[in-house]
Amino acid sequence: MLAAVRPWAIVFVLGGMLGFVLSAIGGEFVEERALFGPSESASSRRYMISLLEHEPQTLIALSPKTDVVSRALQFRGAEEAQGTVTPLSLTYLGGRTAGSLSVHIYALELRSNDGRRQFFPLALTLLEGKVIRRE
Amino acid sequence: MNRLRAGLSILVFVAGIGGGSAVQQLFDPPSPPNPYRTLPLVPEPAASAQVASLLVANDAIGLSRTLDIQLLQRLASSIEPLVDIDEVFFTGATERDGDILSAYVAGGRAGTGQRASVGIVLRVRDGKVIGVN
Repeated sequence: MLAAVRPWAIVFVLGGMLGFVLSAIGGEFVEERALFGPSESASSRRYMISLLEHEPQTLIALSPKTDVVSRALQFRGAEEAQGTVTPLSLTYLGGRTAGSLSVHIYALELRSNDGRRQFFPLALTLLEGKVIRRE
Repeated sequence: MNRLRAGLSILVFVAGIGGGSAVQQLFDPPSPPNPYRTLPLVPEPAASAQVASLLVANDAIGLSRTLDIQLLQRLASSIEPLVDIDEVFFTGATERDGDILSAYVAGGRAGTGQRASVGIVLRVRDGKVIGVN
C-alpha cells in the first residue's frame, strides 16, 4: 500500500516545493519591484497599521532584535498612546527599493483628543523586511 | 493505462503546486488592507522639485538661497547618513488643507562609503517649501 502511494507522494511534494518557491518569488516580485515600478511592501503597510492601531507586538516583530528594556518601552508607549489620537487617513506616497534596502513614505492625518488635526509624513527604511529607521 | 497514469501524475503535481503556494501564503501573508481613508495624489510641486534638483546637483549655494537656516538644518538631519547624493527620486505627493507633502527618496554614499537611501519629505504651501521632514 505504502509502496503504491510513495510515487504519488513524491510528485505531490515536488509540486509543493515548486509552488512554494514560485509563490515566494512571485509575491516578492509583485510587491517590491513589480512591472509597474516599486510598490508598497507588505511589511511597511503592516508596520504603519500596527503603529496607528498601537500594536507593539507587531511593531517589535517588524523591527530588528532589541533588548528587553526597549521592548518594554514600546509596550508602555503603546499603552499610553491608546485613545489619544484618531487616525483619519493613511496615504502611501511611494518608495524605492535597492537590493534588500527599501524606503517607503506615508502621509498621515490624525485628530488628537483636543480636536487638533495633524498632517505629517513618515518615512520607513526597511532592511530585509525589518524597519531599521523611522522618521 | 499509461496515459491515465501520466494524467494523474500531472494532476497530483499541479495539486502539489497549489498546496505549496497555500503553505507559502501562511508563512508570508499578503499586505493587510488599509483600513483608513487614502488621500488623492497630486503632481510634484515646483518648489520641492527645485530643492530636489539642487540636492542632486550638489548645489550648496543654490540651496542656501532657496531655504532658510531652520529648513536647511532640518534637511541636513533628514539626509543623514548621506554625504554624497547622486540621485533623488520623486515618489509622490498629497495635499490636505493647502499643505502639500512632497516625498522623495535620495540615494548616495554615506560617510563610511556604503550606499544608502533616505526618505525626504518637503512640505509646500503657497508655492513655497515651509517644512522638511
